[in-house]
Amino acid sequence: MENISKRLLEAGEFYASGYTEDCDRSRFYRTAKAMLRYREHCSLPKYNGELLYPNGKCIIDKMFVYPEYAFTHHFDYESYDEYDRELAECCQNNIPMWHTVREEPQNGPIYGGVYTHASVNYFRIMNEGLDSYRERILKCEDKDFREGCLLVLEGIEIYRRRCIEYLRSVSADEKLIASLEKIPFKKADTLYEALIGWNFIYYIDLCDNIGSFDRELDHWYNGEDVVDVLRNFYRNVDANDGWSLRVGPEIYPITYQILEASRGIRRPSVELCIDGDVPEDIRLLSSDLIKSGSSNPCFYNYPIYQKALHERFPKIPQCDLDKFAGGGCTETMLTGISRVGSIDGSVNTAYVFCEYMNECLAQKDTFEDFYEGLIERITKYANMLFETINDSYKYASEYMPNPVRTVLIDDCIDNGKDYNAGGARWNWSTVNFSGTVNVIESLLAIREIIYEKKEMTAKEFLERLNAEEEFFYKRLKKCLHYGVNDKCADSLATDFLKRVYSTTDGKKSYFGDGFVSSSIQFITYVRRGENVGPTPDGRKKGEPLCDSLAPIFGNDTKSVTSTLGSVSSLDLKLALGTPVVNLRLSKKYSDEMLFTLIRGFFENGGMMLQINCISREELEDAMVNPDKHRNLLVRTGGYTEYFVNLSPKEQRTIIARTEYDE
Amino acid sequence: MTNKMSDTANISKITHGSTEDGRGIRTVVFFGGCGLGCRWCHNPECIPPEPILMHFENKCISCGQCVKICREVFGMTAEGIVIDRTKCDGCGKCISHCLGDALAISQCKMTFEKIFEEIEKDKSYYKYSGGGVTFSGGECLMQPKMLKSLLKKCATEGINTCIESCFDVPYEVIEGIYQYVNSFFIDIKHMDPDIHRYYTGRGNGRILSNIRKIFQNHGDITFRIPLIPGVNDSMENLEKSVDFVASLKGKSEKRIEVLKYNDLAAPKYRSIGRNFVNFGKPQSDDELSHLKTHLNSLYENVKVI
Ligand code: SF4
Ligand code: SF4
Repeated sequence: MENISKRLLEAGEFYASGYTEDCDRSRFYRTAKAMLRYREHCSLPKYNGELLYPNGKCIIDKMFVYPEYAFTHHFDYESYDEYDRELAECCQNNIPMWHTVREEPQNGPIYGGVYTHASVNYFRIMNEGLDSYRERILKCEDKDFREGCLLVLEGIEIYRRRCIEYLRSVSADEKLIASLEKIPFKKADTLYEALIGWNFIYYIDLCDNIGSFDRELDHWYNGEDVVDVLRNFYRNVDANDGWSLRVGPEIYPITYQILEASRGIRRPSVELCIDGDVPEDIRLLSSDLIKSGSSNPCFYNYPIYQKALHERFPKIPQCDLDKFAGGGCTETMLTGISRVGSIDGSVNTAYVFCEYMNECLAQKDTFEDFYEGLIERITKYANMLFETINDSYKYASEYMPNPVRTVLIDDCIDNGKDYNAGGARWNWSTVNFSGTVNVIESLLAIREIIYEKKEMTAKEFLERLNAEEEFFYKRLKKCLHYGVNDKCADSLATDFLKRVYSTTDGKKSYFGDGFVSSSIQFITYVRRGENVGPTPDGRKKGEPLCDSLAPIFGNDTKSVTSTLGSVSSLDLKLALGTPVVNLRLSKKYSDEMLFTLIRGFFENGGMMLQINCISREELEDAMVNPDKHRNLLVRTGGYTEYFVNLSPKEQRTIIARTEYDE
Repeated sequence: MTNKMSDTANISKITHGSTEDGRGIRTVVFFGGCGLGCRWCHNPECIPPEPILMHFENKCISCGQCVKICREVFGMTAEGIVIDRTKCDGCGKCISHCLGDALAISQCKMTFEKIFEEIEKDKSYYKYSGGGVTFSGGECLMQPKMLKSLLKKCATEGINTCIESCFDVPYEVIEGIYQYVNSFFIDIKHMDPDIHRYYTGRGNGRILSNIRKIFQNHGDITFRIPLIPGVNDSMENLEKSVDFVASLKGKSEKRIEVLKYNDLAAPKYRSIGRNFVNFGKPQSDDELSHLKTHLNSLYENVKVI
């Protein structure tokens, strides 16, 4: 094996080389060694006079096996043929690969890759310095675990040294070099040092989330203007398709700078937590950002998240709940102290509905029977999903340790346990239910046309639906809808979602504190619709599914308050993983009106709201002339994206969203 | 002309989330029935006290569903659907079957509870925007019993109330409700009684007298002058209207809003089988700005919208 390891190193397979060095030791130790070799040999990003270092794309070397934050490492199967066949095979035989154990077809009733986002404990690292981590690590009993953790620190140290040497060789800014001499092993003493550290650790963690940000940075704030440094950091997050940060609800002087720096940059997605009144300058700044096309910030109802988290996890103390932030798209997690599977997997409720409706509708005498049968079927698939996730967790905890996150996320060291084996202080798995609004609308149509008004038999209904008959579709559009603040429609929606979300109640996860439900569609709502036949919400075969819990476009034309009224009538807390709601408003809304809508929605139980203020004309023009609109940003699924980066289908769903005018 | 059934009112529609009918975010309750019949009325379907069938030709796809549901009223010809409104009793059955969304009923009976349920839905949005409910129409003051119950209920629930009215009702009606109203929007259509009668069906004597009286008693009134080309947009009439407001004595804050003409109601006229009279082109920005300067020289608190 020693021989193989050498050959891999010579071939530029740094990670695989480290992994194959000590075959008699634990997976944890070997993975840590792999990371160490990677950090020793990887190419360093170019320095171009920036305020921070590193910058730009994190992984620039071409390797068949390369490290990754969610799955420990990945195999570059896409360019398989470009690698030495023998060495690639050797990697495959000796290095385990993340997999979902029971591979489900991704276009069926359940799908997902057991993905994990996190934000490491930046604050603790900057506030204590990694030297203090070393002391804690030395207390660990298990030899391989302890030495593996030390290898992580050694890797960080080697990488830092290499960065400094390189920066010296290109005569980089002395202040930057001096700061890197200190952090992250010694604690940061100034805001500037802390930010240099944040950026550095962001790269060490391979570029995921920033997490809760303003209350942490406030610790070092001393009146400095760091907007440029923050913008540099954000550009790095953007370059790596990184994710989210949170600010609020307490507003610090640094909060303004964090928000202002996000102007016109796609990532990070900025989450502004709100608890009651919002200071006028934050209101003005946020609405200005949104109207200038940033699509940032999105808004979080802080007290309700706190309440929902407390109800779901009564053991979590308040000081830990304070670390709440969205990660990945907007998945609920606790910065620096949690391992949240996000998103571990999804049930495509529209797919299940379609399958069940075509099979069973004709046999059900009452709507209640039909409905109960559907819930049973969705529950069955949800249970299958939980099992699949648990199998994957079991596999990951045995084969796919993550030593870097083990060191950087609490309390893995103190628990002496790998991050992927449940070492973090809090662990849960987020599952997503997609297509729910399509199902709600379909149920309303079936109830009205077949069971209440008895306009046609189930057989005729299905025939006309599956033939996508034009007049029949017009009839469907006339049914009572969710989204117009109608009690009768909304109560069905509430019950359905309650039953669906509650499938996670009391379910045990392989480790940690169970499952939480969510409604976060990322951009998958387009692909997940491709394999779903016509549904009675008026959706045709293969068309995209709903992209959030907002009513289906075109059915919500009553008014913006009615739409928000319907959404907030749902028991959203049950989708603690985050119930995403997208809303498109005309630019004419004043900042006051905008916040009236947000606060009214939150008072009624709304949990989060993503607002786009971009006109249909502007979006349509961007489809035709993408070059003119390279920087146009939109909120979709649960995150921010350049509009021109989306597929035409995704672009069309965003354009089709109802635009509310004052 | 109070509502016959004491516990229901004729309601044309209720809209939510409006920002144009008073302060903040508002729910607007449109009452059916109006004592005037302004020829330019933007809600002509709200004028009669009874429901009328509305058919929007531009939306009709000639699917023939309505004919199947109600043969007495609908017929299919080579030119499309023909309608005999005299046979329609406003039951509304055809509406849900119309595949083109081309049919509507101008008003329906709603109970107090149902109306208030709609008003209550946006309570949180009123709170943060300073909004509330606006009673409009038609003429909301023509169904005073229901209006008063709603106003009283809103007052106890802390919901801001606004009334849009042409004020052509006995003063006792206004006297019975004004204490529950936070603000009024009152139309001034023309200062000449005969022209007023010619275009609206009634003179302006009672209206102006009611305005003088309410002015003694209420603190928040906005006067609205809809500009109708060739009818009331002469400088002479506008000056008189502004003078009238300026000369009012009482405790109320006075505001005047002069509204630009538009012909957006044309499809509605066609939908109820009435001819739409187009009084002319909407005023240009230059004309409006000239008007504003001139009227402001007479009275400072004039907005031209
Ligand atoms: S409202 Fe009733 S009576 Fe009138 S046309 Fe429709 S179905 Fe016929
Ligand atoms: S049902 Fe509606 S769309 Fe069809 S013919 Fe009648 S009015 Fe026209």
